[in-house]
Amino acid sequence: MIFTLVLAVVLSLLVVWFVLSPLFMAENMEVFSASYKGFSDEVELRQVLGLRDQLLSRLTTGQSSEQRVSDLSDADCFDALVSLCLRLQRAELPFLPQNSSGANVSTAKSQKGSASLAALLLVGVSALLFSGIAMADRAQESLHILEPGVFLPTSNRYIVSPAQSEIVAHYVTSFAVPSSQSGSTMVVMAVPENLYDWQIIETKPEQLAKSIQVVNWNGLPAVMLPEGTQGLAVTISSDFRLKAATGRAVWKNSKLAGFPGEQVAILFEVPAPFKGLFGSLSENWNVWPPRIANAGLATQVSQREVQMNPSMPARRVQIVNRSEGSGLPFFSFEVIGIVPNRTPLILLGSLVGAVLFGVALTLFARRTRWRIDAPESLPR
Amino acid sequence: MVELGFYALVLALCLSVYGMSMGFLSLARPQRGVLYSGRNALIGVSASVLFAAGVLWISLITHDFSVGYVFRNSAADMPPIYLLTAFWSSLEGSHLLWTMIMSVIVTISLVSVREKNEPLMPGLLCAYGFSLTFMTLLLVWASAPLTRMFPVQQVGQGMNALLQNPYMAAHPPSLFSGYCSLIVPFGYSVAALLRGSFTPDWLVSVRRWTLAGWAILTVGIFLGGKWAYVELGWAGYWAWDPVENSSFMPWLAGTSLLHTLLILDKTNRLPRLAVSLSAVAFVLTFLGTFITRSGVISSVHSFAESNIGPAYLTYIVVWTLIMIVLVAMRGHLLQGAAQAQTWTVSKESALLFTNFFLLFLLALVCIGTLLPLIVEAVRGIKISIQQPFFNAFAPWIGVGLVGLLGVGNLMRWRSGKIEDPVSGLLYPAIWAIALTAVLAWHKGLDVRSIIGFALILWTAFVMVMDLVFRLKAIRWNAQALLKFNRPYLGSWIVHLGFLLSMAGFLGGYRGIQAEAQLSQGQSAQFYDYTLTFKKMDYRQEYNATYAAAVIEAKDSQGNVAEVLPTRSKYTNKDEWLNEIGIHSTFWHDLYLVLAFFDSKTNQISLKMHVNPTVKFVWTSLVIMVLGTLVGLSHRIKRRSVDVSSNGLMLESATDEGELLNDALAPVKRAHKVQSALVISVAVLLVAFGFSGTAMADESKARLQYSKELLEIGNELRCPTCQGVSILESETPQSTAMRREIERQVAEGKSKAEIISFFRDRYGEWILRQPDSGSTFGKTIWVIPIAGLVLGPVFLIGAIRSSRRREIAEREVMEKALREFISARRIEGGQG
Repeated sequence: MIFTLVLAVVLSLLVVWFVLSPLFMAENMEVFSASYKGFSDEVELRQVLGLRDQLLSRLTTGQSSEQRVSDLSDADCFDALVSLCLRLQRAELPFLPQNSSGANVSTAKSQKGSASLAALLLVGVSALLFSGIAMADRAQESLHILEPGVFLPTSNRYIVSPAQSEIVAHYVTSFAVPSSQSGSTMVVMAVPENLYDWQIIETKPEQLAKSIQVVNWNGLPAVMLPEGTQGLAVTISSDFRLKAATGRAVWKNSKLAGFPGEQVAILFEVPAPFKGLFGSLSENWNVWPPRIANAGLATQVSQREVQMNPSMPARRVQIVNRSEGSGLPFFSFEVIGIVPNRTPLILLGSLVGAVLFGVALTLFARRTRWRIDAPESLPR
Repeated sequence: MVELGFYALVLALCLSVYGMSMGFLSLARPQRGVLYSGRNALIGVSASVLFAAGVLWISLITHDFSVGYVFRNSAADMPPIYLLTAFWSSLEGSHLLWTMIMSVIVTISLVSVREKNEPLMPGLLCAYGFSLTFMTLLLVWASAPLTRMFPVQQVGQGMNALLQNPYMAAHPPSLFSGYCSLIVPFGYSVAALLRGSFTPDWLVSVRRWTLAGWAILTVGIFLGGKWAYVELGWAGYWAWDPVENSSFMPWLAGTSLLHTLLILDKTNRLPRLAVSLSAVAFVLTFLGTFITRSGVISSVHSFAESNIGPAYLTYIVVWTLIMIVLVAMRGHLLQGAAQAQTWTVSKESALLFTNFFLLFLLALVCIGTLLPLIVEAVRGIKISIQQPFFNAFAPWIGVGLVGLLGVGNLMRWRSGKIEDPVSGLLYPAIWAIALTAVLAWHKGLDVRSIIGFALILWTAFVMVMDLVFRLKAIRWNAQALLKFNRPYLGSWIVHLGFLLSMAGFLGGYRGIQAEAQLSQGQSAQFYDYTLTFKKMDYRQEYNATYAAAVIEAKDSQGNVAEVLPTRSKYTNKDEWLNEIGIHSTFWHDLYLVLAFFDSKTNQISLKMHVNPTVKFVWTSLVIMVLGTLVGLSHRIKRRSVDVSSNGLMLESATDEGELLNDALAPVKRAHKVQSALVISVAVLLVAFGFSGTAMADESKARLQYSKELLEIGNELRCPTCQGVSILESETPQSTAMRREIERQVAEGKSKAEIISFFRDRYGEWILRQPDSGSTFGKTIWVIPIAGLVLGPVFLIGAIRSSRRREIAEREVMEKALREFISARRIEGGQG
């Protein structure tokens, strides 16, 4: 996340410098040209005005300093004058000389420009999760007693899928409800802290889904199995999410410790085009692709290839597992290199926009010098 | 990397808004600093979008399936070249490509603004900035190509198999480049309207960019046609389907704009039409994309399912309204607007009627494309408007355009005088009629071909005579023509290309087709060929399996060629697709489609076509592009400048004045030789162009289907394809319909009864053209006919009305001036 933001800021600084640099040159802040409605430029307008005056002079005094005008007949002069005056009239300019004091060459000041800021819309990213991997769902005689009537499964398997600014975990646990238990049985889910959006996807037996009750045990999700399920082999598949706003998700649970059994998490590797670009340096950077890092006590990380479908090539996975044995803590690790939330990038972009507008408008307001086009300067 | 790419798009959006805002700010107070800042922002947009595009390309090449677009449009087993072209194989990528090309063209346009066009910069920034804001907003919001997709998949879904073709690899970039080039004339038009006047170099810039855009768009359209020809298997290249029409509409508007710019340049008329057409051409590029990308083709109701459709529609409506308001409020300020519109018989009148035909065709295509959508939205019924409807009008428009081309070229501006009507018009007519008569007698041409061919030949000869007159006028100095009149030379070549394409289209009517079932070793006779099925050949390449029938084609002269009609099956598509086997000769294409094969019995079913003159259609493109390049190469400027020791500029050996003097010098033998060469090349080009059409054989009738089936089948559309009839389609539904027609014909049913049977079964929609029996159908037919007849009447009426207004305005002005002059004379004691 930080790495991406730093690069984005560097990129932004270059762009801001490139865009704003022309504003810091004083000579660039003078009004450079005026608008001449109906005429290509000032030269053409001056020519038309000059010719009109020559024609008028020829018609009123019979003389003109222009030889070509003097050579024309009265009728031709008048026709030409009408055409020129019509052109001036269409350009919304007074066509008669005595009004020319008002015939200012517009600097188009009346044309109001309006700046509108387009709203930046957040990109909605939906992260769908499903994995076709079949986990072993063999029920084991494995429920660790947390306190009387409260159990913790000892077979816990997770498929970890990175998503945008979070990870989605598919959790499968299998256990046999103790036959010695009377009444309902509470089974606490062996999941990490700070999870959210936990929901049961599937149960085995299926009919259990209707009678099962989801409860809270010390901030962890738990299921209340009804009476009559004693001795039953149960498998519960569920999904939950862990936040990774900065591209790093922490998987730990200090409330669960010292229970026997296995905990295995699988993370599928994804291709990373520039993974090897910076060599081993990039290993610890919190940048794409997602991977396991900082494994805790008694937690091992390994890699191997798995063949999920005979028609497809094998996929590389990272496997995190905790050694079996009681007295060991809940396994802990981090998933780094997760794609961070794009909101900071959108905010940074907006900030760049605000800086550009702020600087430009401030300089525009302070350093503008108006040029008044004096209509008197035009030939009559 | 992907996140940075996304950020680059966000940055591009901010910069677009900033650039546009600086443009607006500068409308009131143009300051170089602000303008350059806005310009740099739009250059920054280009850099940012290029960066984002680079990220998408890298993601495609490295199979980064965490990017949703990469997953949906590529696969690891695709050929490397198509990994690159997968970039524009779907909506989001196409949009990014479009934005990338647009921003690059905007950058080129902004950094190359001529000094005299600098006052247009505020308007340019507004127009460019607004367009780029829309495009980048979509890239960030509704059509984001760099969106991640989780969980990351291992194997991509692959690209649409139909698009894995070299022509389709090149078609979208060229089409989008053409579309995007049209933003420059549009931007200049907006700028001129905002400023209230043209600048001295406005026309130069607009014409160059329009011409370049037009040529690139032409290439794009032809590439699309070529792709349809070699990939779809119906032996045609143009079906008037909505996708094709959507690219044709801006092309027509651009062509009309080019002719209008010529009138504006030479006579200072129609400035409002010029700026309006530049807007129409640009907006139509978005309308086309709206039609093809919003989902309205499949159903009008599907367009709102994504944000793309409503966004495009809003954009189109906004720009249209802005342009209507600008033209209405400020159009009269443009030089030449509302001046005396005295249109006598002259070159500009010929161009005006050329424009009428082009715009009529544009309106026809627009109606034919949009009406089914509007009818479905309003009345809830589906109708089809396909090839027969367009073909009922297009040839007449072609006749009008070809006829005007020859005469218009010979006419002078304003006076309309033709220098030597006998040599210029009569002799070419005699040559054309004589040549056509010989061909008609020798080849048995039908009436349509005779008229068309004679008209095209006559126009071509008139053009040759025009070239001769031009050379004569400059004392046969071909060097001067090549150096100083390249725009004329370019347009001459382009128009020859146009005539050639017309001749090619005309020849296309005379293709023949047949079908044959062959076992290995068997032969079939078709046209001038003996086709022998040698064997089936199977091969696997990347993500496709190919089954090719090896066909030996032996003509009557004993020439042998191997043709490989093939079917291909891609890993991501269940159907077998066509890969056409084409044996291309100078005069025709032998076009073989492998309709069916049985790998066990080694039997095949072949659809065989001979397409005369098709090569000339493709050749016409080369000629048109060549003509455009010649036209664009014209740049009057000193090529080298010698400076003396004290800093004064010396006359250069390549000074224009010197060359001009040289051009007007006494006739030299070398000049005559050069002129003879130019005329010879022109005659050869014409002869080459039309020899193909002339040689096309028509003596054999269509073999595959009975006359009744041809007549009926041509009026019924394939229920599952776009734009083709049941005769051209090989889908099971079309095959079943053909069999049903044959059955009913055998039962003695009439054409009307059979068509009625299918209409009752499928609805009005199954008819390829509006039913002239229904009131609604009649209305659809009457509108274009009325337009074609009443259009010229309206045009003449409008010109007369404009003239009357002008006279009234002039009278008021005359009165005011007379009073003023009298007053001045009295003041001066002359009263």
